[in-house]
Amino acid sequence: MDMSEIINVSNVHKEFDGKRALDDLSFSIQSGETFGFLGPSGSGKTTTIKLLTAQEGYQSGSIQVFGRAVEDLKDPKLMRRVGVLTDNSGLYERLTVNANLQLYCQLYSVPYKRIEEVLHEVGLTGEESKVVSKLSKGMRQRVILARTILHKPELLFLDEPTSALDPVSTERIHRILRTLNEEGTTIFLTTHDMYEAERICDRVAFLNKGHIQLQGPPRELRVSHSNSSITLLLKDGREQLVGNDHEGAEHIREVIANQQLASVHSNEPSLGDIFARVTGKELF
Amino acid sequence: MISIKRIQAVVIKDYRDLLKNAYMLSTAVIPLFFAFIFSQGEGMETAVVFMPITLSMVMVGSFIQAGVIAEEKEKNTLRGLLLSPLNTSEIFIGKSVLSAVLSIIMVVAVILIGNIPMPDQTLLVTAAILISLVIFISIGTILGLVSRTVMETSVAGIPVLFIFGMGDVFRTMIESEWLIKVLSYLPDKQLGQLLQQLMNGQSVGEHFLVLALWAVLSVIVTIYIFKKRRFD
Repeated sequence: MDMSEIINVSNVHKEFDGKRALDDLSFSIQSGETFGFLGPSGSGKTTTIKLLTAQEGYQSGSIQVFGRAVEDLKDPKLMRRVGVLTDNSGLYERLTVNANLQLYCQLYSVPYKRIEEVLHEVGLTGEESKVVSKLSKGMRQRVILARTILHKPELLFLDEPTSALDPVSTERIHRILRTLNEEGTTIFLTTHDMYEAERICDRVAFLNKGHIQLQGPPRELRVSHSNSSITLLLKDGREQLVGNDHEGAEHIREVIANQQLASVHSNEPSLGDIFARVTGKELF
Repeated sequence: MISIKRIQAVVIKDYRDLLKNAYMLSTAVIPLFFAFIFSQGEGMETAVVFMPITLSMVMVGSFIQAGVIAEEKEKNTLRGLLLSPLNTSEIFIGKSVLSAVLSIIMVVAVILIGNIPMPDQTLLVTAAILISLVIFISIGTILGLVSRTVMETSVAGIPVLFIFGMGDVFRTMIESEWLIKVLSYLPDKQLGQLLQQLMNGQSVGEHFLVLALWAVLSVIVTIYIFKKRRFD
């Protein structure tokens, strides 16, 4: 295993009651990377997170986290280096934001003053005395994220962190994740939102029926699946499709010289388009 | 290694939560009403004289424990604890302390309010009640683990209430000798007989043994079910 590798998954098979959930799963994640696992519901994203956090066992293959067998995550010392936000993480609804975070401060031996800091990080300064049941869904999700990063984990597992959130809350969480990543946190994220993956992931993997069909940096995937054409939007509202070649360049020069050009657009496919092309399925 | 600090964190959280939980609080005081009703009766049969004690252990030790565990599952907070540095033993102990303390308070209150005659051998009585608490809290934990919601624990808990909490009442209606014999090994009956025999100055070793077996068995079953159901 490479020294900078935080996660290494090799030929993992997982079955539930004889039904295949993950098939020959292999990937690795480098330190400081944000890695996105894209796939429709039921593709095996949550199962993968459960395997990577030792919540579930598997039939064959190997999983290493921090260079150790994933089963070692049951050791509290190793678990301290990890933060997990599951798809259905809950809070103690009758308690305040502060009381919820105090519990985890004590569990992780983190001083209470960190609460103020982490609430600032997730944009909830001044909300610590609010009872959780009175918070909006977006605020709750940010409290859960605050709880997840309270102990400053080196590795974050996030299962659909913005699922069913409004665009403003989603944007806030994306900003937080980018900041965390800039500070050196490695992030493993599952999502079926290709926009989310494009915005915050350094690399993505497309998961379909428990099997990785394609992986790589979003930009590279888009370029490699591009049809090399360019769309010109003219001032009169017309659109023109030109090739990414000498002939196309001459045409663009001519349009510019005639002051007809409004804008130029590359025709790279979105991750959703690529996913559909590769798997024959939509992400939703 | 068990961390007292982490256990304390869970207990403090449970205590704060309990103070705001009307359902749990009302369940906790029900045995006091029973004790009061019992105190009004005269010439109570020996068979049922200790029933308010077992009833309070079932209502508080089992029902509240079941509710506390089931709510952690229902609200998806148990997973958060399991993915924290808490180990299985710390979760078990932490999640049981509050039910145990409340049960002890209620048992004492029930004895006082119900004017229940108790043996003078305080140490033996305390030991018997503590062993019984382990059994009833384990039963509560099992109920909580197999239930998906707090409401389900109420339904699943009814047989437990009838068999373990009010068993003495039903036993007086049963004629089948073998069934009476089987039921006499239930922990509530064993505790009742143990207390009665202490009062009569008789040997109680056999009852202690049966209660201890129940305690060991219930803890093993609880751990087994916990390992199976914790991430459900």
